[in-house]
Amino acid sequence: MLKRHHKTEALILKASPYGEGHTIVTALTSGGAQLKAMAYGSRKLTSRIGGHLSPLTRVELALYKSRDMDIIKQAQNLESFSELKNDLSRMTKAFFVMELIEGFSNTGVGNRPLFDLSLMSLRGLQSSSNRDIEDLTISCFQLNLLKVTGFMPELYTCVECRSSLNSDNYNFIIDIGGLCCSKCLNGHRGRAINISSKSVEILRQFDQGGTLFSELPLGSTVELRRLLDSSTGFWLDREIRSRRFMEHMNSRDIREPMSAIDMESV
Amino acid sequence: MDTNIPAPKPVIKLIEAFNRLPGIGPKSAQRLAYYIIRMPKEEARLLADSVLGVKQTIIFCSRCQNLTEIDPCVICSSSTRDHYTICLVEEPLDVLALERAGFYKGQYHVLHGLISPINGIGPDDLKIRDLLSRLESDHISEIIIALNPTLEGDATAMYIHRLLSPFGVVITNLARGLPVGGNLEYADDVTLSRAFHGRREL
Repeated sequence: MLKRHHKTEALILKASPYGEGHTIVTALTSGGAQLKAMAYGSRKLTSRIGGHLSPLTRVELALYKSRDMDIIKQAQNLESFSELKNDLSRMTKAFFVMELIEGFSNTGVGNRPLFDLSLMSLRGLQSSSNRDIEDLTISCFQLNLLKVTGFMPELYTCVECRSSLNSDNYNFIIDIGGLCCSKCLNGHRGRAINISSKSVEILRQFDQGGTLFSELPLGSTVELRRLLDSSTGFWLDREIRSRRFMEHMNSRDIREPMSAIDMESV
Repeated sequence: MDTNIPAPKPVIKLIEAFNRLPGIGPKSAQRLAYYIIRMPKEEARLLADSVLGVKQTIIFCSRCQNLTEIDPCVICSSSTRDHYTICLVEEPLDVLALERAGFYKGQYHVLHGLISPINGIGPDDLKIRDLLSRLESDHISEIIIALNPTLEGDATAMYIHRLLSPFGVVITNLARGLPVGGNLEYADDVTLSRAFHGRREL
């Protein structure tokens, strides 16, 4: 017999208003699958579940399987990340993390490491003491995200001819999935991103599990960030929307229009 | 949308038009369209005229950005209201809710949305620049932020606080806590903690 009631732990990613006081909640379940569920009446002031369904909250959900979409019957807050919610700079970074989780998770396809990574990254942001650590946490999250979702680029041999790579400068081509040797570069020249051997070394160390968040040199993140943004953006098939807002918040004068930010130069 | 419905083209066009409205699915769109077909001609004309009338006569007030027929709107041009206080709201409907309550006698500023980086909505998409112009030209003493207590509402409130701090104007936020008729048992951690922090002596 089909079990219609079920429970799950989940991280709320998005709450979109629907109709008269209802909300469609997008969450990442503890199994690592994306869940879309309806919370009837949750926007009404006296709702018993509305307050628990705010994005950036880890909750325990009791759901009822319906024909189109699961219905949230009960919700209990487990972790509210209140320090992230009270600091605009860190909240902006949490938005970035949540946008990528939403983009890289799939409905009905579980990926437990993705859930663990999401919580670890948000907790890392919450406990970070300065902007450099926050940026590093973001870069590490992106790298891990590519790894746990199967999009980690090839870093050891040329993606085209499989020859080993040894150079001071490397050519990274996102759409073919990694580094490319100088012989095979001709067909892809316009799309190659030049990266330093230092960044490749960091990526390799990371891939082998030898790099911890705290061990990455702070200055090395700029080149890595560009590479990671290009990679995650390519697999998402769109610009990462919250990156622009993040850069806007980092700018000296936030009165300058956000559209004036040149994303190529950041 | 199923285009194989055995219905005349104008009916399909009407169904498709309803289907584009928020919260209206294909079945509701069909029901509404067939309801209109059965309506008396005069009633249908009244509905069509109202839709067109709204589109032709309603404009944004150049000061508060609320919807109005005349510019500046009734609230902005009223001599009996406090012109030194601005209440910042998300939507025109929020102005209606506050006016219905009847205790606030200051000015408004409607943002027409909230900052939502995940959905690609940034400060440039809201009426924030118009608020800055008002602060530069008018003698405003207090900005009351009355945005929804959601993650996006809080992000917008914090952004505006950071943006307006150099103007030296008093910026206040609506109290957060337990709603009237609510139940302590079902309140979430954030609501409870804000209710505790905002407690008052009886």
